[in-house]
Amino acid sequence: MLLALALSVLSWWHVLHQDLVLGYKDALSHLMIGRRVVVGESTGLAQLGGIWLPLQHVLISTLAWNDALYLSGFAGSVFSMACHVATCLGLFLVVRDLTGSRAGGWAAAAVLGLNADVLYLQATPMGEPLMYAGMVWAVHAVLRWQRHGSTRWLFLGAGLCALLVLVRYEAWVFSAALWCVVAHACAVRRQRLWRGDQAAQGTLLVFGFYMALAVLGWLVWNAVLFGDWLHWYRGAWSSVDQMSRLDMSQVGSWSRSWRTYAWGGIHTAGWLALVGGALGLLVAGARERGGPRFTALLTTTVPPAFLVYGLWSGSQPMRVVEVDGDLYNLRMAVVLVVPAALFTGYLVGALPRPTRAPGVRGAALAAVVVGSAGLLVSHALSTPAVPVTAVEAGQARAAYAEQREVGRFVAERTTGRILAESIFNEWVIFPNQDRVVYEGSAGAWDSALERPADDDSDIDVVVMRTTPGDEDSLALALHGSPRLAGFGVVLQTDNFLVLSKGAGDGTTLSRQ
Amino acid sequence: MHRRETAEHTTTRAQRAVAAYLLVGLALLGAWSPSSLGATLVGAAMVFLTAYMVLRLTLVLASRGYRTPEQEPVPDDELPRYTTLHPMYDEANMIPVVVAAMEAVDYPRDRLECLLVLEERDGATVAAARAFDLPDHFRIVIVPAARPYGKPKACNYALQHATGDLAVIFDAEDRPEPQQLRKAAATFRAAERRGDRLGCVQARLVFDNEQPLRDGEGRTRRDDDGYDVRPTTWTSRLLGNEYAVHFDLVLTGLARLGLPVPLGGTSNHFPVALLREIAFEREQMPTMPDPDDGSVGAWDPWNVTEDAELGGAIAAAGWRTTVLDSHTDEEACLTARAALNQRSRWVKGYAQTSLVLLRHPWRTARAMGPLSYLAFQLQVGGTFVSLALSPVFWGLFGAYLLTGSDRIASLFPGPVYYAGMALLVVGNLALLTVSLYAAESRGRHGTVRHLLTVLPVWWCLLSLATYVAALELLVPSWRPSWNKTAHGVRHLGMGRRLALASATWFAAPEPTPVRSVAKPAVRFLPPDRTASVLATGYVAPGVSAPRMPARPARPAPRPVRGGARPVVREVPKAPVRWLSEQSREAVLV
Repeated sequence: MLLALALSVLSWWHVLHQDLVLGYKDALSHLMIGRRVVVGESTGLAQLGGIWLPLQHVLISTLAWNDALYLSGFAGSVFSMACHVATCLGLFLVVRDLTGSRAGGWAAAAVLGLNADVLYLQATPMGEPLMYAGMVWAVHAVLRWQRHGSTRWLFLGAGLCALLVLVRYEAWVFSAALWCVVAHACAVRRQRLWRGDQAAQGTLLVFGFYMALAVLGWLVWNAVLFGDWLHWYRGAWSSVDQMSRLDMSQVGSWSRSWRTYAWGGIHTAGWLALVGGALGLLVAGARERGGPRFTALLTTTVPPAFLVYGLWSGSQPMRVVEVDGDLYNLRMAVVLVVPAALFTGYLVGALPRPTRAPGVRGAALAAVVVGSAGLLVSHALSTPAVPVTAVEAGQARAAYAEQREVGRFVAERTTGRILAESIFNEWVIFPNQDRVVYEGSAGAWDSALERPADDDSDIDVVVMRTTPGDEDSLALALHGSPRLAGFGVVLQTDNFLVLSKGAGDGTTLSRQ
Repeated sequence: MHRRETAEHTTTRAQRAVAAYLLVGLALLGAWSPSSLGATLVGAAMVFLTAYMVLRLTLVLASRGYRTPEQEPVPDDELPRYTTLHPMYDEANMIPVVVAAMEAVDYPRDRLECLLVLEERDGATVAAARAFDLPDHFRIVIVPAARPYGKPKACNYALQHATGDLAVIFDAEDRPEPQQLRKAAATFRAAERRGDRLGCVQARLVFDNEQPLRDGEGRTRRDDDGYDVRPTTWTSRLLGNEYAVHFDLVLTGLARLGLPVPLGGTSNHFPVALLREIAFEREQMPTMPDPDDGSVGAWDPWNVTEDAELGGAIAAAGWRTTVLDSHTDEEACLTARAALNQRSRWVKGYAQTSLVLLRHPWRTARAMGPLSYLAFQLQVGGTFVSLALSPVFWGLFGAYLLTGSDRIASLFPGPVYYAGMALLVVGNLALLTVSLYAAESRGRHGTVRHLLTVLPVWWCLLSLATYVAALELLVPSWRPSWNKTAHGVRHLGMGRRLALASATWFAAPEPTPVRSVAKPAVRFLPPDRTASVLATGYVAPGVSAPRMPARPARPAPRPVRGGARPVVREVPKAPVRWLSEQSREAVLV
């Protein structure tokens, strides 16, 4: 655990110095959503919105009120890092409990704990590390419940599944799969559903209740806020809505979908971990005879499978060089590291125990070092860059250089309330979040958009994206409009226009 | 020494004055700024509810680390003399049950004294007891007919005749675990050796009809007539679950943290000397027909949860209460109506206890310790207030969802809003989880579906019962006595109670009909072995069947469709009689 913690902190430190903590645009959005709950022009739980699941943002909101924690991204990274450590510990416990081998536990923890992409993601405010931790500990809880019949672990597993439902959508299918594992375990124990002690009935109701409640709560939340129970699925800026703007080659093609995800897995998990995981899966299936302990482990492969379905159905985007010629959204494939770690660990744990002959400890240590090195080397050989997600994030960050500059300008050179659209202008909003009136600011947005120059609107700065063909709603509504009388341009870039109340043309800065 | 106060008067003049000042202050605030008044009230309620919820959850979490108290086995010849009190009213049919339950107890008979505490005005039970072939260590105590009627006064009266070193109360339907008395004696012995001031040992109460009795195939066991051997309804399941939460989680949490324990109704074991030591003053007790009456004022005769109050008194006297690793089987009510009447009484008793402890808050807090006092108040008064407030906030929440009213929103500024949301979501879910955990961990899997479907409704009904209790508190002239709910003895329906409370709103209290009592009746009666037939269907393990009288003829059984649905036998209701009527009909022995 201390090793995992040390690696986690070192990775964060390294990523921080590479200026990549906020590389992914989504990392920025997570931070902003969390901060909006407690800081800004209109605060409250409604700022959580209805597209992204809320748990991570609720956690971030507890720290994001602090400017330093927010701007550095640590308000979100700290939860990812804590979850990363928990994931490593959970992997160790799962495999050790299953195989009775500490070496197996160490191997499982090493496969995930040394994975460069996982280490990158855990240094950022992304939601994936939360899901990994929840998955591993939910599996651990179900296995403990199976082994000891402990009600406490059953409830812990149920609670974790409910929390997972509020972290990422692919965790919904994982939670459902784990519920099936509980049903499987009840059936193996010949527990009754309707007669006798009705143990299966009670157990399944308890385990399913919390996740069902979480799903229902999310549907109700969407219905109350947006008038549509399925706004998260089909509303504006939902995954489906965004995918409709993309032309993905995988849609409708199982072959391309599988190949894309497989290459993604190779780039992120590495050959050695994937092969080890596949062998471990076969060994576990044989040793556990397909029992509920095996199916519990197998549930960790459900999110990757679901994401392949997402590629095929067009609800999730991902591109790899080998299929599409470029990289996009490869972090979706990182979840494959979890089952790879579990099954590789199982494989190591299932190996015959060495005798306590002289030199065995040294040999074991050497094996660990060689294995770890092998993991790193195989990972490095599997992908054009390590970690590939950081490369992708760096590319994304570079693409937003102009936005970052505009955002910094607005922060340093203007005062007062800012009218700006948030979506796709995240880097402009990020450093100025506490004074921005945006499309989620309820009535203030509508009135400011209608009469930005009125004293009632109290708007001092207007920022609009003027990219030809991709103008934001402010540019469409106000660019060149007499409603902006009294505002003068203070910055003009290729894609952005910043106007300030009372500024004359002479103060305009421009960047070509 | 902390001086106990009775609940003869619901509030004192000083309390009424404070309440009046508070109301005037709030009225002035409301006149000056209605929104401030609303926000103040809502804010105060949130602080209170948060504290209550935090305490409940803390106790549940603390219960995990609870270790049963150390016991020192006591040889038979050193066992203390034990007195078991069995207060009964209108329970003629339960005499054999009590005898059977106590016959199953493993305790030397020469050191055991079982007192059947019967009411003089309950001729039927007295006659039944006399007619029964009672074992030698059983004695009958007849409590004279004098107000206030009820279990606490009956126990106070019986205690003067107790010869035991230790005493315990068992209700008529109680079936204590056979080793319970030995365990309690061993616990007191170990505490004595350590110099620990252990004042009470509470055994867990368990409703055994939380789930039906099943055969090896999982089928509900039925008798020859097709009735369930152990009738179970959703009410009995929920009540059983409540008991599990209360005794297994809350009380053990309190005991672990060393906080005062509001004792349960029965199975609490005391040193008799302690009961005498902390008893009420003689002038605080009701006037008895016999001027030489030697009743011991251990229990408050006017408090309908006298055991809870006694738990506080034990703590205030510097004694500790612990929870024993033993249980007593009881029988839960089968109908929601009966259960709600019972809950209404309990909640009212908690409110009485809380108000009594609020008469001298500083003095009582010094005696108990500030934290203990606060925790005890939250346990007793907090239960009443939280149940009363809950519908108000649910109503506000529902109204806001429907109307989006700004006026409602203004009642919940920032922190209050978040506290309210947390209570709404986390608090209610936590309470539900505690109930589910209690069901699952004890193997009551069949209760889970009832908890998930009925529990919120049950909470609403509990709040309704709380309002009825509040009404009863506001009408001191109407205090039902021996408001027994289970076992087919006596209970008044909710509607009837409301009607009675309304009808007596303006009526003067009815004087105690002392004149109708011919002569004080304190006597030990030898068993009359020419006993007539009594009705019971209970056969305790280890008790020979011939001792139990035959069951009376029953109406033809209803057909059971499919044979799987449990058949609920409703306990036949006794005719509803009002107290004065009962008094006039008092049967003298």
